[in-house]
Amino acid sequence: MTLLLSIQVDANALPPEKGSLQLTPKLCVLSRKETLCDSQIDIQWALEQPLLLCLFEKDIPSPLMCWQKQQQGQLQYQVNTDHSLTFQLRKQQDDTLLASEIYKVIREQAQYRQRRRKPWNFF
Amino acid sequence: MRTLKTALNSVQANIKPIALLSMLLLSPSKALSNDCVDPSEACATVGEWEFQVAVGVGKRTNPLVDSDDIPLVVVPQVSYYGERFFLENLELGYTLTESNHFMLNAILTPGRDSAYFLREDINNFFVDGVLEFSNSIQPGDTPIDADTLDLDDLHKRRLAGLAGFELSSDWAGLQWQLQLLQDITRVHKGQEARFAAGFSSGSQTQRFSASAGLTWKSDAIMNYYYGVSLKEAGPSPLAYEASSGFTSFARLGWQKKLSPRWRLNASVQYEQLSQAMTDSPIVDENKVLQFFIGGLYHF
Repeated sequence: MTLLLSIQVDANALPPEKGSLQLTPKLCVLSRKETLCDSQIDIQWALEQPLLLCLFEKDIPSPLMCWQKQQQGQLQYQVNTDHSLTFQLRKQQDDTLLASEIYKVIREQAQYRQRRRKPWNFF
Repeated sequence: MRTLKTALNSVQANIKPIALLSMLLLSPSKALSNDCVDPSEACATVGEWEFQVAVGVGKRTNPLVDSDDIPLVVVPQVSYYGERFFLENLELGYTLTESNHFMLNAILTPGRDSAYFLREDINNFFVDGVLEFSNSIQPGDTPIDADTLDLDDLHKRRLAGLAGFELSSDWAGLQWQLQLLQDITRVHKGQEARFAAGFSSGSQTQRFSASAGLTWKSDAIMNYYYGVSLKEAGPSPLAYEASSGFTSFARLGWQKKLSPRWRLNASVQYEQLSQAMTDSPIVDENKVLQFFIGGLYHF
């Protein structure tokens, strides 16, 4: 419930300044034998007006990068993760959320079945 | 035995190769329901190849006269399980129906008897359906008896392909398996029935197993491999017509897990041959012994 509330607050906190955040790629599919997504993400953002802002990865307190009064920016970011990551663009001044995008990690679902029963199996 | 033979003849009549193939291809491909949630000894990951290799010291005796034993040094195993299809080394199968306790498969499997005769036989790389390198069966150059009969002079004992059904069960820790098989390659046109039961106990790191079983082979199989025709016998009195018969085996195994990929593996097996085999002039042992100890690596 806390999480839901937090998401709602974040959504409501979106300011009138319109921002866009784009991730390329934005999806990683792990095969059954893979454990980590090892990928470089191209992160691009754009605003309608120049602002002091920073790009965050939600689980890391410190910003990935900050920009001074720019309307657009770009960052190549190397990830090595087993779970989805949320990237956020925030105003430096009051930490207002300007834009948010998720890099999704999904897993191929494994299916299992019974082996043959072989009482004379060598192994 | 007449009843079993009648049943097998009925199987022979009913599982013509085309009918079997049709059954394999046309059966509904709906996934089977089971309790498997993780890969384990009992459960396989669908759509994934598995490779194992045992490296160690072992031997399987050859009961034929003047033949070398089969060393067991490197014994690989490859397997693949689809939703219903499966491959375990040379054995192909298709699961027709399955519950938590029973499994009914249609299978194609090589006959095992040719391994004693043919150095290049594909069975010579396998141990009970398990791949095995470094076999060196070598029919000798010396005569069998009174300089009158040599294994090299006999007609070639070819590998036969057997098809049939396999029913298995796992109940209260006891596993058993019954196979009813028919030669579909017209090598000897014989039938074979295999039954084995076993259990294992132990912990996650160490496991003991014991199993025993019987194999019945029709006179067509026995005579093809262990009979000696008048033409082969020539002037000697060694012509022999083999009848059907049972062989039985007992086996003890032990495994200890050393790491996620390595296990120690040891086993010993005793197989008592049927009288129809031991009466043959080309067989001079009444048993086959097999032992192995070594490491087992799971790739």
